[in-house]
Amino acid sequence: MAERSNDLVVIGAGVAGLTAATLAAKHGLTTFCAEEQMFGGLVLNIGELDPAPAARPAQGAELAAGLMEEAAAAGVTYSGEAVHRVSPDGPMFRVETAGEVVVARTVVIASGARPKLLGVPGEQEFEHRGVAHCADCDAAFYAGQDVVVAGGGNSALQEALVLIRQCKTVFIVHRGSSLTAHPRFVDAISRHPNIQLVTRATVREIRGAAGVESVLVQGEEGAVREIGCTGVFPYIGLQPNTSFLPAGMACDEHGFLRTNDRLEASLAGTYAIGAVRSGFGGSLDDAFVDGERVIDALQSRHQGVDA
Amino acid sequence: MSDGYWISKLGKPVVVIVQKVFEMAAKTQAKVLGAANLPICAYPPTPVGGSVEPIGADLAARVVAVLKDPKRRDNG
Repeated sequence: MAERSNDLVVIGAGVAGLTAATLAAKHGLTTFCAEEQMFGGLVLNIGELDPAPAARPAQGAELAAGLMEEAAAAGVTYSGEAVHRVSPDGPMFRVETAGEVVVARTVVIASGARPKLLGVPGEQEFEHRGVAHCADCDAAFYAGQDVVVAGGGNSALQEALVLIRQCKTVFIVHRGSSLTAHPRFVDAISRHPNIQLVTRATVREIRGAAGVESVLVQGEEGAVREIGCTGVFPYIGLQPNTSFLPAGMACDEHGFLRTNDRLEASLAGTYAIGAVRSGFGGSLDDAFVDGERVIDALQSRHQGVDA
Repeated sequence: MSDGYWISKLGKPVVVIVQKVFEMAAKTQAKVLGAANLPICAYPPTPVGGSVEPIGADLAARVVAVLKDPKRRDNG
């Protein structure tokens, strides 16, 4: 298997990863960035970024393209392969993809997170046949129809606002008694008579035949209600992408990587930034800031070593 | 996009189909991965209440045209 050496490997090419990779390359570090999915991460699926980043495109896909161009121009080497394993090798790390091994002294883990599954009957069966994860991509398929959005945070409400442009009714099913999203989004959905809130309730089953036809929703008190719908959009949170990491790295109770105030993870030489990190703020600005902070931390460390 | 990239690396004929909004990102990613010639066909967002059939027919014709003439990267 081909082997190469770099100063730094960035795993993941979302906003945090691309920002870190670009800055590292601009500081003269030979930087390798691996991403198995579309570069840009979760931001790709957001049609209109709200709030829009300063001096950047307001469309998620355009923003991602710009960040990719910047990183490439700075000299970042990309791979479109998944990272299968990261293993310590003395003071270095071996980062393995299907086709090569990259050896580096420092690894920045920016592998992000993926939408959490509902874990209910029918979810996997109806994936791509009614269960969807991108309102901007798929809203047109549900034009004039009823859909269910599961969740009560920013993502859920933002996607509900995209869906209501085309759908007849959007039911927001949220387990809490009040929505946890930014008040701006809560206010926006309250002005849509065709967005109906179903609070203190969870989706228990997705039903249908060729496609989704309804969901069973259970209230806190146990009563079950069937909501007719052709689409289900779960936005109930995220789970971190960490399966390639060595066992024993410190994580919080949800599996997100713990870091110190310099964004160092528990394995010396590794850093965690963006959505994979415990305590990550979650906004686009937070992703940019993490990407910048980790390079500052690396510089400080190197200056300390050199001094 | 990623699947298309890997199929092309295997030397198989491939066309990546993306919605228009992702076209720039897909082309940029192909370029930075060293696959700038990866054929990418974009289709427009479905109009509200509109039919998907004409969009699908047009897209299918363009995909076939690219596959028949690999020098054509994108005739969209």
